[in-house]
Amino acid sequence: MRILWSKEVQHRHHEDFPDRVLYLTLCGEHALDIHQLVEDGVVKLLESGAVDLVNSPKVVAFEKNSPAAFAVKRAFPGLDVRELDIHDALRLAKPLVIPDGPDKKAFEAAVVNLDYDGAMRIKDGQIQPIRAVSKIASLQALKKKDWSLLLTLNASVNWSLDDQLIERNFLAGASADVPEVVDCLRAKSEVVDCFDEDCDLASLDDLELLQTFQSMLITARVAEAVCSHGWVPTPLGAYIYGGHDSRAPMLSFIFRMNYSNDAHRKVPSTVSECLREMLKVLQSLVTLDQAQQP
Amino acid sequence: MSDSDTETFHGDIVVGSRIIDYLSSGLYESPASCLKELVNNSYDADAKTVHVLVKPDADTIAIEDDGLGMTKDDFVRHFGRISESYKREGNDHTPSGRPKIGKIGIGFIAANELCDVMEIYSTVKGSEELLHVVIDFGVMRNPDDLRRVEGDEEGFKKGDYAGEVSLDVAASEHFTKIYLKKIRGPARESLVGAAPPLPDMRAQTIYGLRPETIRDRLANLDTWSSLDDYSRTRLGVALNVPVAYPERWVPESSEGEVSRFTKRIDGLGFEVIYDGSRLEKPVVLDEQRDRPGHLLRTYKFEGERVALEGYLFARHGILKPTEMNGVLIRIRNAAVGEYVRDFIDFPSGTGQLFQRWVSGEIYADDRLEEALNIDRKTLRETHPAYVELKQWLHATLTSFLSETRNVLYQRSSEERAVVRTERSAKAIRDVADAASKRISPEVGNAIRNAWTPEPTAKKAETKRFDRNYSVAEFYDIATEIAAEVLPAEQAAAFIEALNRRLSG
Repeated sequence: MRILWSKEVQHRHHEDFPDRVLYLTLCGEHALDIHQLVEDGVVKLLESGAVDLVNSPKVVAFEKNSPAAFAVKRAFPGLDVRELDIHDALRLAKPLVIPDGPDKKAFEAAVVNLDYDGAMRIKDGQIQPIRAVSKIASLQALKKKDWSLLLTLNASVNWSLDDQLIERNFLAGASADVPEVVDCLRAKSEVVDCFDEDCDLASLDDLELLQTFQSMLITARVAEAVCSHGWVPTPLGAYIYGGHDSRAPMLSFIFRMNYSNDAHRKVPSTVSECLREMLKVLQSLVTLDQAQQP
Repeated sequence: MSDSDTETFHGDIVVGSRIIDYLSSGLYESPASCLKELVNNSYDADAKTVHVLVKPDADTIAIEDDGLGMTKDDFVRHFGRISESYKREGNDHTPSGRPKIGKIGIGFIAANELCDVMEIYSTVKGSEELLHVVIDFGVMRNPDDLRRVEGDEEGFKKGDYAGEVSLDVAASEHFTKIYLKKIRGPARESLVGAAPPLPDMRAQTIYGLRPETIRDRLANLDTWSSLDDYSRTRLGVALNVPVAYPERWVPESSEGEVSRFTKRIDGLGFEVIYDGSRLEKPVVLDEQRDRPGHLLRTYKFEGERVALEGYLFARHGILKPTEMNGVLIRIRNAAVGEYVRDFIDFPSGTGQLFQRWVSGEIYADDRLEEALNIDRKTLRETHPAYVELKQWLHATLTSFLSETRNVLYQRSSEERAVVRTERSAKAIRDVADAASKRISPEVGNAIRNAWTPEPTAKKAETKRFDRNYSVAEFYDIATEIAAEVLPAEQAAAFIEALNRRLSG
């Protein structure tokens, strides 16, 4: 996964916006993605191992836990690691408030890697990571420079039945013009219908089915969230891993976002198109567990 | 406490008297002074390695060590009321045998000069308890009357704290991690190296360099002032704390003489990693490239009031970087301020030139600590230990400067005189050779014989061979000789040719 992320970062690195933050990440204590960027020569180190602040593109990491943040800094002295919950930095609780200067710049990064490991929470009727994507899309729209979203989520569901109903109905509506979505999910299981009102996603044993359902749901949610801010998303990849041997069922996506002045007028068609693209991606999908370790 | 429990607590950081309150406000003149206090605290906690992380923007500064750590009770006892001297309670050495640097715990609140919030995580070996304390120094910006502690006439608040203890770590772990947050503006600029001194000056930096490279940079540096603020802060910390000397910190021929100082510090087993690069003392004593030669003497002194060991180093020419000119006093291996350039009021008229060639360090014993002012950068001038040290230094320096004059300066003058006389002798030989060809070999021999023996480096001889004549004196000699040995017509022709030659 990290190699794919690094390739996307390198793709954006060649774009000529020297002042722009290249990469924003929730890198965690081990900062494996930063290690990959160093290995691939994107982030350059000086002779002591500290980050070359002059010749490296700007990389920003958010890590709310101080010891974890400084574990990253110990590994990469000089790296811009901000000890903040990314949702606090985004001012997620206040949709109309724009983050402060340095944080605002960070969210205009060419590549934003939201690598969540905990289960997706729904708060005030919204999936929190999607809410964060939406706010970032709104900030990116201030500069209108194309960007990439790397999104990793835990597919587990601990939502109330009411919330499940809302999400299920949303996906059903979003895929009204893409019947292949329902077909794809029904083909996964003859006994469970994710769109059935009686289906409790939280107690689903078939984690691969759950991961596929969540892949479609998240794709539709992301498409809807960014479209309304002028972005046309293109799913470039989707990866499913975990879900067995006590490992959490994970999903990982790569989306490219291109600005379009009339994107907000074409939300339903863009969401449908995105779902079609995602189906193609899923059909050619090799799970990372089969291919490689994440 | 069960696994799910988290015990919370809170309180005030109080200094024990108004005097200490005054002294601990504005006590530290630079971020380096504050930072070194915290690093020295890690040393006193028997840490082997301390990580200091400042870059890229000093938004938060970390000081993380693998020392003994502290419990909630330790924290409250040591820091709840500063000035009650617990740091040396029972033993003034750490369990590993290091002489403790801190005395009354005041260095800990040095942090309030850098930041408004300080966060501590700590645990001790054998316990799964993780102490987490957040100290808010905002209270110390309040007026005095709001900072008085009720029921404690002498107590003044320096900050308040809120803490919690949770069962979050493995029993084998022991550490203290300090995070300075909300760094105050000027301190932040100084720590991170905001801008060069003037817009058109590009300051050098030592950020990201290995210790060996830093050592080489320092060896070729006139002054630390040509470095950025970040680098100067880093050097300031390195100068003070008990970290190792760099490789080749003195010329190779003197390494044996200073090995006891190198070993003394190495034996403490303390290292600081500053933004990924190992901190070493910024002490690099090199000879001048174009004027080789140095003098290094080591000393041991057992006085009635103080004992010490140290060294003095001189090289031919002004000692650079100039920040190392003078003498640095260390007590318990930590520096007292910076190099004292006037060698503690050494008379400026005595060997003034040579004073600027000298750098030295003195490791004094604990008796001098009693003379140490609370700022840890000055000594009480009237203290008997200080007085004795000063007398010793002045006597030693007088003798050292005299030796410097003899060994580096006069010997150097003599070497220059030898070169000069050799040049004179060769010039005479050249003239004799030319006379042999132009006139006759006999004339050449006559010149050689007239200046035998050849010039030597003796002062009187040098004068004889390097005499200067004015044009008038030269004419006087030439006309007198021409009149004596030539017929009048030839004498006239000789003088005319001489005129043409000399008038150019």
